[in-house]
Amino acid sequence: MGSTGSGRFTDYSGTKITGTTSGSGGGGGTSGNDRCQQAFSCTLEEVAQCDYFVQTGMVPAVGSPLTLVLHRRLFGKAANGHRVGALPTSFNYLAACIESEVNYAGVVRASSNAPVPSVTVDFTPI
Amino acid sequence: MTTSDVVLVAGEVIVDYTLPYSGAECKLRLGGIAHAARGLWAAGLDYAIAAFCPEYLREEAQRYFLAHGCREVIWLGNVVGAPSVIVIGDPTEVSHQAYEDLLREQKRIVPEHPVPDVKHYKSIVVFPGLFDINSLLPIANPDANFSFDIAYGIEDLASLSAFRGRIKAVIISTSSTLFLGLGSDDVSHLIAAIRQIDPEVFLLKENRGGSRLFNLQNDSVEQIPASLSKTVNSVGVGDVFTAVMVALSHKGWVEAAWRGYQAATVYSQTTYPDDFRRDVQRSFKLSLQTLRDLGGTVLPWHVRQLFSIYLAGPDFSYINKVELDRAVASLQYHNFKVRRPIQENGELPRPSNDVDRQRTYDTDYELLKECDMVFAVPLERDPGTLVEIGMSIALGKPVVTFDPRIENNNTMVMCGSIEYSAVLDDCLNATFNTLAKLSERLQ
Repeated sequence: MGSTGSGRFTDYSGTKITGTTSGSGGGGGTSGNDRCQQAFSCTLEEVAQCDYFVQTGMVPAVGSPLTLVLHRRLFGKAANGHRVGALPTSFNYLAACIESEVNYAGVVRASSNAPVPSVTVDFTPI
Repeated sequence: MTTSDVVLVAGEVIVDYTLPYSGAECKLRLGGIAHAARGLWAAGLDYAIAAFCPEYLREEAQRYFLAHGCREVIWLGNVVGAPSVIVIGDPTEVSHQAYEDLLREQKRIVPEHPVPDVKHYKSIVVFPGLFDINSLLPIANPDANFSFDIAYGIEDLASLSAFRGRIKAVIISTSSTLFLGLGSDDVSHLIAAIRQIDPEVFLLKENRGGSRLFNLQNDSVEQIPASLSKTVNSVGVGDVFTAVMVALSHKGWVEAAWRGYQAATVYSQTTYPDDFRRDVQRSFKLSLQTLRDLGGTVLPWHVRQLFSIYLAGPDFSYINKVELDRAVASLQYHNFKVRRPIQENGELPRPSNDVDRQRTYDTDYELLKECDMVFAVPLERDPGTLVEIGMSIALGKPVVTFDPRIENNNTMVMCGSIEYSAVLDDCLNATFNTLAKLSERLQ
Protein backbone atom coordinates (compact mmCIF):
# COMPACT_ATOMS: atom_id res chain seq x y z
CA MET A 1 0.00 0.00 0.00
CA GLY A 2 2.84 2.39 0.73
CA SER A 3 6.59 2.50 0.23
CA THR A 4 8.59 2.35 3.46
CA GLY A 5 11.96 2.87 5.07
CA SER A 6 14.00 5.69 6.53
CA GLY A 7 17.55 5.25 5.23
CA ARG A 8 17.04 7.28 2.07
CA PHE A 9 14.36 8.61 -0.22
CA THR A 10 13.07 5.67 -2.19
CA ASP A 11 9.90 6.86 -3.83
CA TYR A 12 11.44 7.71 -7.18
CA SER A 13 9.44 6.99 -10.28
CA GLY A 14 10.78 4.07 -12.23
CA THR A 15 12.71 2.43 -9.42
CA LYS A 16 12.18 -1.15 -8.33
CA ILE A 17 11.11 -2.35 -4.92
CA THR A 18 14.28 -2.84 -2.91
CA GLY A 19 12.93 -4.27 0.31
CA THR A 20 10.36 -3.52 2.94
CA THR A 21 12.25 -3.90 6.19
CA SER A 22 11.85 -0.91 8.41
CA GLY A 23 14.85 1.36 8.14
CA SER A 24 16.30 -0.39 5.11
CA GLY A 25 15.12 2.18 2.65
CA GLY A 26 12.72 -0.24 1.03
CA GLY A 27 10.26 1.21 -1.40
CA GLY A 28 10.32 1.96 -5.08
CA GLY A 29 8.27 3.59 -7.76
CA THR A 30 5.53 1.04 -7.89
CA SER A 31 3.95 -1.52 -5.63
CA GLY A 32 3.62 -3.93 -8.53
CA ASN A 33 -0.11 -4.06 -7.92
CA ASP A 34 -2.84 -2.59 -10.05
CA ARG A 35 -6.12 -2.25 -8.20
CA CYS A 36 -8.04 -2.47 -11.48
CA GLN A 37 -6.72 -6.00 -11.81
CA GLN A 38 -7.70 -7.09 -8.34
CA ALA A 39 -10.73 -9.17 -7.43
CA PHE A 40 -12.99 -7.76 -4.77
CA SER A 41 -16.18 -8.47 -2.83
CA CYS A 42 -18.90 -6.06 -1.91
CA THR A 43 -22.38 -5.87 -0.53
CA LEU A 44 -24.61 -4.02 -2.96
CA GLU A 45 -26.63 -1.00 -1.91
CA GLU A 46 -30.17 0.08 -2.77
CA VAL A 47 -31.14 -3.47 -3.74
CA ALA A 48 -34.82 -2.90 -2.88
CA GLN A 49 -34.94 0.11 -5.22
CA CYS A 50 -33.22 -1.55 -8.19
CA ASP A 51 -35.19 -2.97 -11.06
CA TYR A 52 -34.27 -6.62 -10.42
CA PHE A 53 -36.01 -6.65 -7.03
CA VAL A 54 -38.75 -4.27 -8.13
CA GLN A 55 -39.60 -6.51 -11.09
CA THR A 56 -39.26 -9.90 -9.44
CA GLY A 57 -39.75 -9.26 -5.74
CA MET A 58 -36.66 -11.37 -5.15
CA VAL A 59 -32.92 -11.11 -5.05
CA PRO A 60 -30.74 -13.26 -7.33
CA ALA A 61 -29.88 -16.71 -6.01
CA VAL A 62 -26.43 -17.59 -4.73
CA GLY A 63 -24.24 -18.47 -7.70
CA SER A 64 -26.03 -16.14 -10.15
CA PRO A 65 -23.67 -14.38 -12.56
CA LEU A 66 -23.51 -10.58 -12.58
CA THR A 67 -21.58 -8.02 -14.56
CA LEU A 68 -20.38 -4.62 -13.45
CA VAL A 69 -21.74 -1.66 -15.38
CA LEU A 70 -21.43 2.11 -15.21
CA HIS A 71 -24.86 3.69 -15.58
CA ARG A 72 -24.30 7.00 -13.84
CA ARG A 73 -23.35 4.95 -10.77
CA LEU A 74 -21.70 1.54 -10.68
CA PHE A 75 -24.21 -1.30 -10.64
CA GLY A 76 -24.16 -5.05 -10.52
CA LYS A 77 -26.28 -6.20 -13.45
CA ALA A 78 -27.97 -9.59 -13.85
CA ALA A 79 -27.93 -11.69 -17.00
CA ASN A 80 -31.49 -10.51 -17.79
CA GLY A 81 -30.23 -6.93 -17.93
CA HIS A 82 -31.79 -5.81 -14.67
CA ARG A 83 -29.75 -3.85 -12.19
CA VAL A 84 -29.43 -5.74 -8.92
CA GLY A 85 -27.79 -3.09 -6.73
CA ALA A 86 -25.33 -0.24 -6.61
CA LEU A 87 -21.75 -0.54 -5.49
CA PRO A 88 -20.78 1.52 -2.46
CA THR A 89 -19.09 4.74 -3.49
CA SER A 90 -15.81 3.49 -2.01
CA PHE A 91 -15.60 1.46 -5.22
CA ASN A 92 -15.92 4.52 -7.46
CA TYR A 93 -12.34 4.01 -8.63
CA LEU A 94 -13.68 1.12 -10.71
CA ALA A 95 -15.35 3.60 -13.04
CA ALA A 96 -11.90 4.61 -14.25
CA CYS A 97 -10.97 0.95 -14.63
CA ILE A 98 -14.04 0.35 -16.79
CA GLU A 99 -13.19 3.48 -18.78
CA SER A 100 -9.79 1.89 -19.36
CA GLU A 101 -11.56 -1.17 -20.75
CA VAL A 102 -11.18 -3.47 -17.77
CA ASN A 103 -14.35 -5.52 -17.33
CA TYR A 104 -15.55 -7.49 -14.35
CA ALA A 105 -17.58 -10.67 -13.90
CA GLY A 106 -19.33 -11.34 -10.63
CA VAL A 107 -20.97 -14.20 -8.81
CA VAL A 108 -23.54 -13.79 -6.05
CA ARG A 109 -21.92 -15.14 -2.89
CA ALA A 110 -24.80 -14.45 -0.50
CA SER A 111 -28.28 -13.07 -0.89
CA SER A 112 -31.37 -12.60 1.20
CA ASN A 113 -34.85 -11.16 0.70
CA ALA A 114 -35.41 -10.35 4.38
CA PRO A 115 -35.27 -8.53 6.70
CA VAL A 116 -34.05 -6.22 3.96
CA PRO A 117 -33.04 -7.35 0.46
CA SER A 118 -29.29 -7.83 0.38
CA VAL A 119 -26.80 -9.20 -2.12
CA THR A 120 -23.09 -9.82 -1.66
CA VAL A 121 -21.03 -10.37 -4.79
CA ASP A 122 -17.51 -11.52 -5.64
CA PHE A 123 -16.18 -9.68 -8.71
CA THR A 124 -13.14 -10.62 -10.77
CA PRO A 125 -11.51 -8.71 -13.63
CA ILE A 126 -11.83 -10.51 -16.96
CA MET B 1 4.64 25.53 -24.19
CA THR B 2 5.72 28.85 -22.71
CA THR B 3 6.45 29.40 -19.07
CA SER B 4 3.17 31.26 -18.83
CA ASP B 5 1.53 27.82 -18.97
CA VAL B 6 3.73 26.51 -16.21
CA VAL B 7 2.57 26.85 -12.64
CA LEU B 8 5.22 27.87 -10.16
CA VAL B 9 4.95 26.20 -6.77
CA ALA B 10 6.42 28.31 -3.99
CA GLY B 11 7.06 27.20 -0.43
CA GLU B 12 9.30 25.13 1.78
CA VAL B 13 10.85 21.74 1.11
CA ILE B 14 10.92 19.61 4.20
CA VAL B 15 11.30 15.97 5.15
CA ASP B 16 8.25 14.04 6.28
CA TYR B 17 8.94 11.17 8.59
CA THR B 18 5.95 9.03 9.49
CA LEU B 19 6.39 6.93 12.58
CA PRO B 20 5.69 3.22 12.30
CA TYR B 21 2.35 2.15 13.65
CA SER B 22 0.35 -1.03 13.81
CA GLY B 23 0.30 -2.55 10.33
CA ALA B 24 2.66 -0.04 8.72
CA GLU B 25 6.38 0.59 8.74
CA CYS B 26 8.01 3.98 9.02
CA LYS B 27 7.93 6.21 5.98
CA LEU B 28 10.39 8.84 4.79
CA ARG B 29 9.47 11.25 2.00
CA LEU B 30 10.23 14.69 0.78
CA GLY B 31 7.41 16.82 2.07
CA GLY B 32 6.26 20.42 2.01
CA ILE B 33 5.80 21.46 -1.61
CA ALA B 34 7.05 18.06 -2.78
CA HIS B 35 3.50 16.81 -2.31
CA ALA B 36 2.19 19.43 -4.72
CA ALA B 37 4.99 18.54 -7.13
CA ARG B 38 4.01 14.88 -7.12
CA GLY B 39 0.42 15.83 -7.82
CA LEU B 40 1.34 18.00 -10.79
CA TRP B 41 3.68 15.36 -12.17
CA ALA B 42 1.03 12.65 -11.81
CA ALA B 43 -1.53 14.86 -13.53
CA GLY B 44 0.89 15.48 -16.42
CA LEU B 45 1.05 19.22 -15.73
CA ASP B 46 4.04 21.47 -16.23
CA TYR B 47 5.45 23.09 -13.14
CA ALA B 48 8.50 24.67 -11.61
CA ILE B 49 9.62 24.99 -8.01
CA ALA B 50 10.65 28.06 -6.04
CA ALA B 51 11.70 26.86 -2.63
CA PHE B 52 13.15 27.58 0.73
CA CYS B 53 15.19 24.53 1.59
CA PRO B 54 18.01 23.62 3.97
CA GLU B 55 21.38 23.33 2.28
CA TYR B 56 21.84 19.67 3.14
CA LEU B 57 18.66 18.75 1.32
CA ARG B 58 19.05 20.76 -1.88
CA GLU B 59 20.94 18.28 -4.02
CA GLU B 60 18.52 15.48 -3.21
CA ALA B 61 15.45 17.69 -3.57
CA GLN B 62 16.60 19.05 -6.92
CA ARG B 63 17.27 15.54 -8.21
CA TYR B 64 13.85 14.44 -7.01
CA PHE B 65 11.95 17.34 -8.58
CA LEU B 66 13.75 17.08 -11.91
CA ALA B 67 13.07 13.34 -11.99
CA HIS B 68 9.38 14.10 -11.57
CA GLY B 69 8.58 16.54 -14.31
CA CYS B 70 9.83 19.80 -12.81
CA ARG B 71 10.98 22.35 -15.39
CA GLU B 72 13.18 24.38 -13.08
CA VAL B 73 14.15 24.59 -9.43
CA ILE B 74 14.77 28.05 -8.00
CA TRP B 75 16.19 28.38 -4.50
CA LEU B 76 14.68 31.32 -2.68
CA GLY B 77 16.43 30.78 0.60
CA ASN B 78 18.03 28.55 3.15
CA VAL B 79 16.50 27.11 6.28
CA VAL B 80 18.81 27.08 9.27
CA GLY B 81 18.62 26.20 12.93
CA ALA B 82 16.43 23.17 12.38
CA PRO B 83 16.58 20.08 10.17
CA SER B 84 13.22 20.80 8.51
CA VAL B 85 11.98 17.37 9.51
CA ILE B 86 8.36 16.84 10.47
CA VAL B 87 7.51 13.72 12.43
CA ILE B 88 4.00 12.49 11.75
CA GLY B 89 2.16 10.43 14.30
CA ASP B 90 -1.05 9.65 12.46
CA PRO B 91 -0.79 9.58 8.66
CA THR B 92 -4.41 8.52 8.26
CA GLU B 93 -5.79 11.61 10.02
CA VAL B 94 -8.45 9.76 11.92
CA SER B 95 -7.79 12.53 14.40
CA HIS B 96 -5.21 15.25 14.80
CA GLN B 97 -2.19 14.27 12.72
CA ALA B 98 0.22 15.01 15.57
CA TYR B 99 2.80 16.83 13.43
CA GLU B 100 6.07 17.59 15.19
CA ASP B 101 8.25 20.09 13.36
CA LEU B 102 11.58 19.32 15.03
CA LEU B 103 13.36 22.29 16.56
CA ARG B 104 10.70 24.57 15.09
CA GLU B 105 11.33 27.34 17.61
CA GLN B 106 14.92 27.63 16.37
CA LYS B 107 14.06 27.50 12.69
CA ARG B 108 15.00 30.53 10.60
CA ILE B 109 14.80 31.50 6.95
CA VAL B 110 17.84 33.05 5.29
CA PRO B 111 16.91 34.49 1.86
CA GLU B 112 19.24 33.97 -1.09
CA HIS B 113 21.62 36.76 -2.12
CA PRO B 114 21.25 37.91 -4.75
CA VAL B 115 17.53 37.29 -4.72
CA PRO B 116 16.53 35.22 -7.75
CA ASP B 117 13.55 36.36 -9.74
CA VAL B 118 10.62 34.26 -10.86
CA LYS B 119 9.41 36.68 -13.49
CA HIS B 120 8.98 33.98 -16.15
CA TYR B 121 5.95 32.61 -14.34
CA LYS B 122 2.44 33.99 -14.55
CA SER B 123 0.71 31.58 -12.19
CA ILE B 124 2.15 31.06 -8.73
CA VAL B 125 0.67 28.80 -6.09
CA VAL B 126 2.00 29.54 -2.65
CA PHE B 127 2.14 27.23 0.34
CA PRO B 128 2.99 29.62 3.17
CA GLY B 129 5.39 28.61 5.89
CA LEU B 130 7.94 30.42 7.96
CA PHE B 131 9.04 32.68 5.12
CA ASP B 132 7.65 36.14 4.43
CA ILE B 133 5.10 35.74 1.65
CA ASN B 134 5.44 39.41 0.76
CA SER B 135 9.02 38.68 -0.32
CA LEU B 136 7.51 37.04 -3.40
CA LEU B 137 5.95 40.24 -4.71
CA PRO B 138 9.09 42.10 -5.86
CA ILE B 139 10.57 39.05 -7.57
CA ALA B 140 7.38 38.03 -9.39
CA ASN B 141 6.20 39.20 -12.78
CA PRO B 142 3.90 42.24 -12.37
CA ASP B 143 1.25 40.30 -14.30
CA ALA B 144 1.58 37.15 -12.27
CA ASN B 145 -1.40 35.94 -10.30
CA PHE B 146 -1.22 34.12 -6.99
CA SER B 147 -3.11 31.33 -5.29
CA PHE B 148 -2.65 30.55 -1.63
CA ASP B 149 -3.17 27.36 0.30
CA ILE B 150 -3.50 28.74 3.80
CA ALA B 151 -3.79 25.49 5.73
CA TYR B 152 -0.56 26.46 7.50
CA GLY B 153 1.65 29.47 7.89
CA ILE B 154 -1.02 32.19 7.83
CA GLU B 155 -2.42 33.44 11.10
CA ASP B 156 -4.35 36.39 9.73
CA LEU B 157 -5.95 36.86 6.31
CA ALA B 158 -4.82 40.47 6.37
CA SER B 159 -1.32 39.21 5.69
CA LEU B 160 -2.49 38.52 2.13
CA SER B 161 -3.75 42.05 1.60
CA ALA B 162 -0.72 43.11 -0.43
CA PHE B 163 -1.78 40.59 -3.08
CA ARG B 164 -5.32 41.94 -3.37
CA GLY B 165 -6.41 42.10 -7.00
CA ARG B 166 -3.93 39.42 -8.02
CA ILE B 167 -5.34 36.45 -6.11
CA LYS B 168 -7.00 33.69 -8.09
CA ALA B 169 -7.73 31.17 -5.38
CA VAL B 170 -7.61 30.84 -1.63
CA ILE B 171 -7.71 27.33 -0.28
CA ILE B 172 -8.15 26.27 3.32
CA SER B 173 -8.76 23.04 5.18
CA THR B 174 -10.99 22.39 8.14
CA SER B 175 -7.88 21.01 9.85
CA SER B 176 -6.25 24.43 9.98
CA THR B 177 -6.24 26.64 13.05
CA LEU B 178 -7.17 29.61 10.87
CA PHE B 179 -10.38 27.85 9.83
CA LEU B 180 -11.15 26.83 13.41
CA GLY B 181 -10.78 30.44 14.48
CA LEU B 182 -12.72 32.08 11.65
CA GLY B 183 -15.13 29.58 10.19
CA SER B 184 -15.73 26.68 12.50
CA ASP B 185 -19.10 27.93 13.76
CA ASP B 186 -20.34 29.64 10.62
CA VAL B 187 -18.71 29.50 7.22
CA SER B 188 -20.20 32.86 6.26
CA HIS B 189 -17.81 34.60 8.67
CA LEU B 190 -14.88 33.03 6.91
CA ILE B 191 -16.24 33.85 3.46
CA ALA B 192 -16.75 37.46 4.47
CA ALA B 193 -13.14 37.63 5.60
CA ILE B 194 -11.91 35.96 2.42
CA ARG B 195 -13.86 38.49 0.32
CA GLN B 196 -11.70 41.23 1.78
CA ILE B 197 -8.76 39.95 -0.21
CA ASP B 198 -10.88 39.47 -3.33
CA PRO B 199 -9.94 36.09 -4.81
CA GLU B 200 -11.87 34.58 -7.71
CA VAL B 201 -12.60 31.40 -5.77
CA PHE B 202 -12.35 29.99 -2.30
CA LEU B 203 -12.02 26.25 -1.73
CA LEU B 204 -12.92 24.78 1.64
CA LYS B 205 -11.54 21.28 2.00
CA GLU B 206 -13.63 19.40 4.56
CA ASN B 207 -11.60 16.24 4.90
CA ARG B 208 -13.74 13.08 4.65
CA GLY B 209 -16.88 15.15 4.20
CA GLY B 210 -15.91 16.51 0.77
CA SER B 211 -15.11 20.06 -0.34
CA ARG B 212 -16.95 23.20 -1.30
CA LEU B 213 -15.81 25.54 -4.02
CA PHE B 214 -17.18 29.05 -3.52
CA ASN B 215 -16.99 31.17 -6.65
CA LEU B 216 -16.88 34.67 -5.21
CA GLN B 217 -17.42 36.30 -8.60
CA ASN B 218 -20.78 34.73 -9.36
CA ASP B 219 -21.69 33.48 -5.85
CA SER B 220 -22.10 29.89 -6.97
CA VAL B 221 -21.10 26.91 -4.82
CA GLU B 222 -19.90 23.60 -6.21
CA GLN B 223 -20.15 20.67 -3.83
CA ILE B 224 -17.48 18.07 -4.38
CA PRO B 225 -17.81 14.78 -2.51
CA ALA B 226 -15.17 12.70 -0.81
CA SER B 227 -14.46 9.22 -2.05
CA LEU B 228 -13.84 7.29 1.13
CA SER B 229 -11.68 4.24 1.08
CA LYS B 230 -8.81 2.88 3.12
CA THR B 231 -6.48 5.77 3.85
CA VAL B 232 -2.82 4.88 3.36
CA ASN B 233 -1.32 8.31 3.95
CA SER B 234 -3.23 11.55 4.13
CA VAL B 235 -0.16 13.78 4.45
CA GLY B 236 0.02 16.24 1.58
CA VAL B 237 -3.31 15.18 0.11
CA GLY B 238 -4.67 18.69 0.43
CA ASP B 239 -1.58 20.12 -1.27
CA VAL B 240 -2.14 17.85 -4.26
CA PHE B 241 -5.75 19.04 -4.47
CA THR B 242 -4.65 22.66 -4.42
CA ALA B 243 -1.83 22.37 -6.95
CA VAL B 244 -3.79 20.39 -9.51
CA MET B 245 -6.83 22.65 -9.18
CA VAL B 246 -4.82 25.81 -9.69
CA ALA B 247 -2.83 24.36 -12.57
CA LEU B 248 -6.03 23.34 -14.35
CA SER B 249 -7.95 26.55 -13.67
CA HIS B 250 -7.85 27.36 -17.40
CA LYS B 251 -10.46 24.59 -17.77
CA GLY B 252 -12.77 26.54 -15.48
CA TRP B 253 -12.72 26.38 -11.71
CA VAL B 254 -15.41 23.74 -11.41
CA GLU B 255 -13.68 21.15 -13.55
CA ALA B 256 -10.33 22.12 -12.08
CA ALA B 257 -11.62 21.47 -8.58
CA TRP B 258 -13.01 18.08 -9.52
CA ARG B 259 -9.68 17.09 -11.08
CA GLY B 260 -7.90 18.26 -7.96
CA TYR B 261 -10.24 16.10 -5.93
CA GLN B 262 -9.49 13.10 -8.12
CA ALA B 263 -5.73 13.49 -7.79
CA ALA B 264 -6.00 14.03 -4.04
CA THR B 265 -8.16 10.94 -3.62
CA VAL B 266 -5.58 8.76 -5.34
CA TYR B 267 -2.75 10.37 -3.35
CA SER B 268 -4.41 9.32 -0.10
CA GLN B 269 -4.41 5.72 -1.22
CA THR B 270 -0.81 5.09 -2.22
CA THR B 271 2.68 6.42 -1.62
CA TYR B 272 4.11 4.72 -4.70
CA PRO B 273 4.60 7.47 -7.30
CA ASP B 274 4.13 5.32 -10.39
CA ASP B 275 0.94 3.81 -9.00
CA PHE B 276 -0.22 7.31 -8.17
CA ARG B 277 0.47 8.62 -11.66
CA ARG B 278 -1.13 5.64 -13.38
CA ASP B 279 -4.29 5.90 -11.33
CA VAL B 280 -4.56 9.68 -11.74
CA GLN B 281 -4.16 9.40 -15.49
CA ARG B 282 -6.81 6.71 -15.55
CA SER B 283 -9.23 8.67 -13.42
CA PHE B 284 -8.86 11.76 -15.60
CA LYS B 285 -10.47 9.83 -18.46
CA LEU B 286 -13.80 10.19 -16.66
CA SER B 287 -15.89 13.14 -17.73
CA LEU B 288 -16.99 15.80 -15.30
CA GLN B 289 -20.59 14.62 -15.69
CA THR B 290 -19.60 11.05 -14.85
CA LEU B 291 -17.82 12.26 -11.75
CA ARG B 292 -20.86 14.16 -10.63
CA ASP B 293 -23.10 11.17 -11.28
CA LEU B 294 -20.88 8.79 -9.36
CA GLY B 295 -21.19 10.95 -6.28
CA GLY B 296 -19.57 10.09 -3.00
CA THR B 297 -19.70 11.23 0.58
CA VAL B 298 -20.96 14.74 1.24
CA LEU B 299 -21.08 15.88 4.83
CA PRO B 300 -19.98 19.49 5.25
CA TRP B 301 -18.27 20.45 8.48
CA HIS B 302 -21.15 22.58 9.68
CA VAL B 303 -23.81 19.96 8.93
CA ARG B 304 -22.15 17.39 11.17
CA GLN B 305 -23.33 19.15 14.32
CA LEU B 306 -26.95 18.59 13.24
CA PHE B 307 -26.63 14.91 14.08
CA SER B 308 -26.06 13.27 17.42
CA ILE B 309 -23.92 10.19 17.83
CA TYR B 310 -24.60 8.03 20.89
CA LEU B 311 -21.37 6.68 22.30
CA ALA B 312 -22.03 3.15 23.50
CA GLY B 313 -19.10 1.91 25.50
CA PRO B 314 -17.70 1.43 29.00
CA ASP B 315 -16.86 5.09 29.34
CA PHE B 316 -16.17 4.56 33.04
CA SER B 317 -13.47 6.20 35.09
CA TYR B 318 -12.17 2.90 36.43
CA ILE B 319 -11.32 0.95 33.27
CA ASN B 320 -8.55 1.14 30.68
CA LYS B 321 -10.35 2.68 27.72
CA VAL B 322 -7.61 4.30 25.69
CA GLU B 323 -9.16 3.11 22.41
CA LEU B 324 -12.54 4.55 23.35
CA ASP B 325 -10.93 7.89 24.18
CA ARG B 326 -9.11 7.81 20.84
CA ALA B 327 -12.40 7.18 19.03
CA VAL B 328 -14.07 10.10 20.84
CA ALA B 329 -11.13 12.36 20.00
CA SER B 330 -11.39 11.31 16.38
CA LEU B 331 -15.13 12.02 16.18
CA GLN B 332 -14.73 15.38 17.89
CA TYR B 333 -11.78 16.32 15.66
CA HIS B 334 -14.13 15.88 12.72
CA ASN B 335 -16.75 18.08 14.40
CA PHE B 336 -19.23 15.35 15.22
CA LYS B 337 -21.59 15.83 18.12
CA VAL B 338 -20.78 12.91 20.40
CA ARG B 339 -23.25 12.21 23.18
CA ARG B 340 -21.60 10.35 26.05
CA PRO B 341 -24.31 8.95 28.34
CA ILE B 342 -21.99 8.15 31.20
CA GLN B 343 -20.48 11.62 31.09
CA GLU B 344 -23.83 13.34 30.63
CA ASN B 345 -26.01 11.31 32.97
CA GLY B 346 -23.38 10.44 35.51
CA GLU B 347 -21.38 7.38 36.42
CA LEU B 348 -23.11 5.13 38.90
CA PRO B 349 -21.26 4.55 42.15
CA ARG B 350 -20.32 0.98 42.91
CA PRO B 351 -22.38 -0.49 44.43
CA SER B 352 -25.47 1.50 43.48
CA ASN B 353 -29.07 1.26 44.54
CA ASP B 354 -32.11 0.29 42.50
CA VAL B 355 -33.38 3.84 42.24
CA ASP B 356 -30.13 5.14 40.79
CA ARG B 357 -29.91 2.21 38.39
CA GLN B 358 -33.44 2.77 37.09
CA ARG B 359 -32.88 6.49 36.70
CA THR B 360 -29.67 5.86 34.77
CA TYR B 361 -31.30 3.27 32.56
CA ASP B 362 -34.17 5.62 31.76
CA THR B 363 -32.01 8.64 30.98
CA ASP B 364 -29.54 6.64 28.90
CA TYR B 365 -32.35 5.02 26.96
CA GLU B 366 -33.96 8.39 26.29
CA LEU B 367 -30.64 9.72 25.07
CA LEU B 368 -30.20 6.71 22.82
CA LYS B 369 -33.61 7.33 21.27
CA GLU B 370 -32.72 10.99 20.67
CA CYS B 371 -29.55 10.18 18.77
CA ASP B 372 -29.27 9.58 15.05
CA MET B 373 -26.73 6.79 15.15
CA VAL B 374 -24.64 4.78 17.57
CA PHE B 375 -20.89 4.48 17.71
CA ALA B 376 -20.14 1.44 19.83
CA VAL B 377 -16.83 0.53 21.43
CA PRO B 378 -17.59 -2.68 23.35
CA LEU B 379 -14.31 -2.92 25.25
CA GLU B 380 -14.06 -5.87 27.63
CA ARG B 381 -17.31 -7.21 26.16
CA ASP B 382 -19.09 -4.71 28.32
CA PRO B 383 -22.64 -6.10 28.71
CA GLY B 384 -24.23 -2.66 28.85
CA THR B 385 -22.68 -1.75 25.51
CA LEU B 386 -23.82 -5.00 23.91
CA VAL B 387 -27.37 -4.41 25.14
CA GLU B 388 -27.25 -0.88 23.72
CA ILE B 389 -26.11 -2.25 20.37
CA GLY B 390 -29.09 -4.63 20.38
CA MET B 391 -31.53 -1.90 21.39
CA SER B 392 -30.21 0.36 18.64
CA ILE B 393 -30.59 -2.30 15.99
CA ALA B 394 -34.15 -2.92 17.15
CA LEU B 395 -34.85 0.82 17.02
CA GLY B 396 -33.54 0.92 13.45
CA LYS B 397 -30.62 3.16 14.32
CA PRO B 398 -27.40 2.65 12.39
CA VAL B 399 -24.65 1.16 14.53
CA VAL B 400 -20.94 1.40 13.81
CA THR B 401 -18.97 -0.96 16.02
CA PHE B 402 -15.31 -0.26 16.68
CA ASP B 403 -13.84 -3.37 18.29
CA PRO B 404 -10.12 -2.63 18.57
CA ARG B 405 -9.36 -5.69 20.69
CA ILE B 406 -11.52 -7.98 18.53
CA GLU B 407 -13.41 -9.24 21.56
CA ASN B 408 -16.89 -9.16 20.04
CA ASN B 409 -16.60 -10.88 16.67
CA ASN B 410 -20.01 -12.35 17.19
CA THR B 411 -22.54 -12.85 14.40
CA MET B 412 -25.21 -10.61 15.88
CA VAL B 413 -22.79 -7.80 16.60
CA MET B 414 -21.02 -8.01 13.26
CA CYS B 415 -24.08 -8.43 11.06
CA GLY B 416 -26.25 -6.06 13.05
CA SER B 417 -23.73 -3.26 12.67
CA ILE B 418 -23.45 -1.39 9.41
CA GLU B 419 -19.70 -1.48 10.05
CA TYR B 420 -17.78 -3.75 12.35
CA SER B 421 -14.02 -3.23 12.41
CA ALA B 422 -10.97 -3.15 14.61
CA VAL B 423 -9.68 -0.25 12.50
CA LEU B 424 -10.76 3.25 13.49
CA ASP B 425 -10.24 4.52 9.93
CA ASP B 426 -12.94 2.11 8.70
CA CYS B 427 -15.33 3.10 11.47
CA LEU B 428 -14.78 6.78 10.85
CA ASN B 429 -15.51 6.33 7.15
CA ALA B 430 -18.69 4.43 8.02
CA THR B 431 -19.76 7.23 10.34
CA PHE B 432 -19.26 9.80 7.59
CA ASN B 433 -21.15 7.66 5.09
CA THR B 434 -24.02 6.97 7.49
CA LEU B 435 -24.59 10.59 8.43
CA ALA B 436 -24.09 11.73 4.83
CA LYS B 437 -26.97 9.47 3.82
CA LEU B 438 -29.14 10.74 6.66
CA SER B 439 -28.31 14.29 5.65
CA GLU B 440 -29.19 13.58 2.02
CA ARG B 441 -32.58 12.19 3.04
CA LEU B 442 -33.32 15.35 5.01
CA GLN B 443 -32.71 17.59 2.00
